[in-house]
Amino acid sequence: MKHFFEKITRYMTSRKSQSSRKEFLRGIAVSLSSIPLVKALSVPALAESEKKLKPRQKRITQTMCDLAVVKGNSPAAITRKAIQALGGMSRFVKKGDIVVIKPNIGWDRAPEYAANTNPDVVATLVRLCYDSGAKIVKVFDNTCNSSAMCYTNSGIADAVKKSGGQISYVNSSKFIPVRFPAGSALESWPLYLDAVECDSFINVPIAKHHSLAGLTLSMKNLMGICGGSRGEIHVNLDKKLADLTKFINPDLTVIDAYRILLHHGPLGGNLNDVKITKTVIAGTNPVLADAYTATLFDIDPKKIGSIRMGEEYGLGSANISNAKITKISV
Amino acid sequence: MIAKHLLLIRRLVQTLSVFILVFIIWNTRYPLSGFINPEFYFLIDPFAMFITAVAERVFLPGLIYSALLLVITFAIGRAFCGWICPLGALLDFLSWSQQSVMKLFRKKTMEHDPLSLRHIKYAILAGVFIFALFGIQLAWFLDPITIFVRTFSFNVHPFITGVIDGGFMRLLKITDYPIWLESMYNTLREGFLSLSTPKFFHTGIILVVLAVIMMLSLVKRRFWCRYLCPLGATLALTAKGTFFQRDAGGCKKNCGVCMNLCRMNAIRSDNSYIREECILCLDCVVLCPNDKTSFFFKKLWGSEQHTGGQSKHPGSEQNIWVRANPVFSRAQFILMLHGLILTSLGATAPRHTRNKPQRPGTESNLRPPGALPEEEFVQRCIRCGNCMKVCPTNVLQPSSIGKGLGGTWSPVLDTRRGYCEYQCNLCGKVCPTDAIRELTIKHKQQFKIGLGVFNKKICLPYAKGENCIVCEEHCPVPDKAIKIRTSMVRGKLIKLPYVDTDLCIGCAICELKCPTAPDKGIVVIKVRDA
Repeated sequence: MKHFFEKITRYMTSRKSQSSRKEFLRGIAVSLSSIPLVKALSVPALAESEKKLKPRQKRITQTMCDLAVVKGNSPAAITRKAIQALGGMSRFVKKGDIVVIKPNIGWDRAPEYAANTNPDVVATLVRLCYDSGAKIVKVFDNTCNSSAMCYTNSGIADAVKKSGGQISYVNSSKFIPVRFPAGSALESWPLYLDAVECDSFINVPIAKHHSLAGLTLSMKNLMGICGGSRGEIHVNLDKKLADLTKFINPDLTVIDAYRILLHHGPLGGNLNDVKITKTVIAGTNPVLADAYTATLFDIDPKKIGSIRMGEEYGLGSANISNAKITKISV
Repeated sequence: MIAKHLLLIRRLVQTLSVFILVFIIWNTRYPLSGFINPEFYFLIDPFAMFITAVAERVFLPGLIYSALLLVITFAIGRAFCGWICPLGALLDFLSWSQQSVMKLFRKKTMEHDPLSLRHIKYAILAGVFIFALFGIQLAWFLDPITIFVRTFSFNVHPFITGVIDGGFMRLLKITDYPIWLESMYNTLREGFLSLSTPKFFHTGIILVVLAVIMMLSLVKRRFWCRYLCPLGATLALTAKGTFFQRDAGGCKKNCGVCMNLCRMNAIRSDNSYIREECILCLDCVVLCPNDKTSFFFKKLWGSEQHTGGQSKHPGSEQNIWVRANPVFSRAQFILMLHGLILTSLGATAPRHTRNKPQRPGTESNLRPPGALPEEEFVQRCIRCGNCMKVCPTNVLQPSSIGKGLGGTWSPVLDTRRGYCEYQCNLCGKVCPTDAIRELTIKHKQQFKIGLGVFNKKICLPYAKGENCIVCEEHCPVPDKAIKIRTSMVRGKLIKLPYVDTDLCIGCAICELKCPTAPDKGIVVIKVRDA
């Protein structure tokens, strides 16, 4: 060991290894010239993160009715029936489409507690999308609890995998800061790339109680594509949700009201707070779907801030009595 | 035939042992599969188990397993050190690569007669033991298995996952997220990497400890094992009387090959050896140029007249004994008896450190759910890092040295990094010394880690008069430990949150998700048990 060090020190101090001025300058020149190389390698990657996202365009589709409300014992069957009543999935998903299905997988709770979207509803939608020729169906949510536990215990990861969909955990580098139009409450917020860059966006929330929003419905469900410090969205929530919905423009909204959470939302945890209503509500107008779902809770839709704000923003009418609603029991 | 391959077999066993341990540590995460027992390597570690048991005056199940290891060591010697110990394997690998490099310089390591430095490890063991008698457990700092596991959990694993994860993210970004690469990344994240790269703070020093041990092994092979390791000392004390012994009686050449080979420096220049220092690496057997060295089971009792060269059958090596001493000398026997009496005394003696007033610094630290009361917890915890490794939210962090030397590297909840997951009880499941008791999910959901307290100068509804309620939204208690009352603030009807102290379990998700920065509108504090 000693000899080893001696050899090294001898080598380092020997005349041979000492650099002349010329060598020194040459070394500096070489190291300086490497700067452009490093820059060339790193800058494109940095520029990539500055990717600009534009508001999503909704595909204009005619549906057979404004809203389909289907009741029945099997979550899968009523979901299928509701889509059928609108005119079939092929109106929303074309061949070769990249489809995003955004359920609520926010919480580490089993399906019975009505904190997450019913896995059967999600799986059925995935299957319907593939039947209509979708290239790939992506399912994800930026969870509130640990993602692995949420994905597993909600039963959604398994159900989606079985139906052939691509379930993925969110990748933090895919949250891209989005500038909202002037005057919007959100101003700038990181949104998930996949949610904005897709051919078809299907929003699949579960209807739940929420002490701030009143109810958490389809508009609130879109918080799951937001990154950043999401708690801040809660300040002036209704306006921000309307902004978000306007930006994402979901092509189809399917609200899972098979089990609804009446109190202690959005997490619940007490089976006494869960009401089994066995209903699925589907439509292209998110405001109308939310408004109808509010009536299941015996709440006047006008009292839900986000619905009011959504109507004001022109996202759709919340007037249930004027809408063409198809009610089916299976 | 086998003899020729013994070294290869030993190296394979060592590699396998390291791989098994690394596999175990790597998979100490949610969901903990049934066949992996993260406690295994600690349960067979007599040093950690006995010292903890003595310091805490408790019976640990690990005592039985580790006693088994002691029995094996008594029978065949310190094979654990030479064949199983992951730290030893690491040091062996290091010396082996060092020697491969040294060959280029035509330099051979030279050994002298065994140094009395080797007694340091007994002094360390005795010191730790005496502290344990007074209720202070220091095994956490010096136990080789813990050192290995801790460094891997805190330094190596986050580094590896971080590099792979970051590389994939970069690659995905540059290639604009092709579907096949994304699904590959997803699968990798699910099965191999952590979903988010764990980060542990103040852990540089943990790496330094291992680095120093590794550096020392460059000076002398297995420096740690020869001179310092208290687990080695524990096993050496047991191996003193082993009857599986080296025999080189037939060798008259004194060529010194085996002496220089011995990584433990256990062979004297007169070809005799120190029994308890031998770790059965079998270098001297396999690499002996004269094939004179071998190991035999020696008779425990009975006459041993065959000494040195005065053999009845000069040709046959089996009958030549190296030394005529009986297995135990009288002095050794008395020493062992002495140790036994001390141990049993220690286990029953009253503890002096109990009920001492707590230092203010340690009081504010939140402990994992199921943790013993603070004073006991600090002594019981061996800082193996299992709980912090398994924690799905990365909330468990090693306490820094600055927060009080006694609690160094023990797990605390860093509520700015994470929170305690409501339906998770993994930390209790992986604790080898039960410093964190294993709770059922139901019990865990009622275990009070701390208590949430609103800071009304910061909390948005109180301070700014704006609706927020993020804390109430995230509160996992079914009936919500954060309740709401509506009241007028600055002329507006605002939902004001307050804590139901009976329901709050202090999981701290409210503190983590609270949108105010840098100070939080709600903080979780530790409430001492009444």
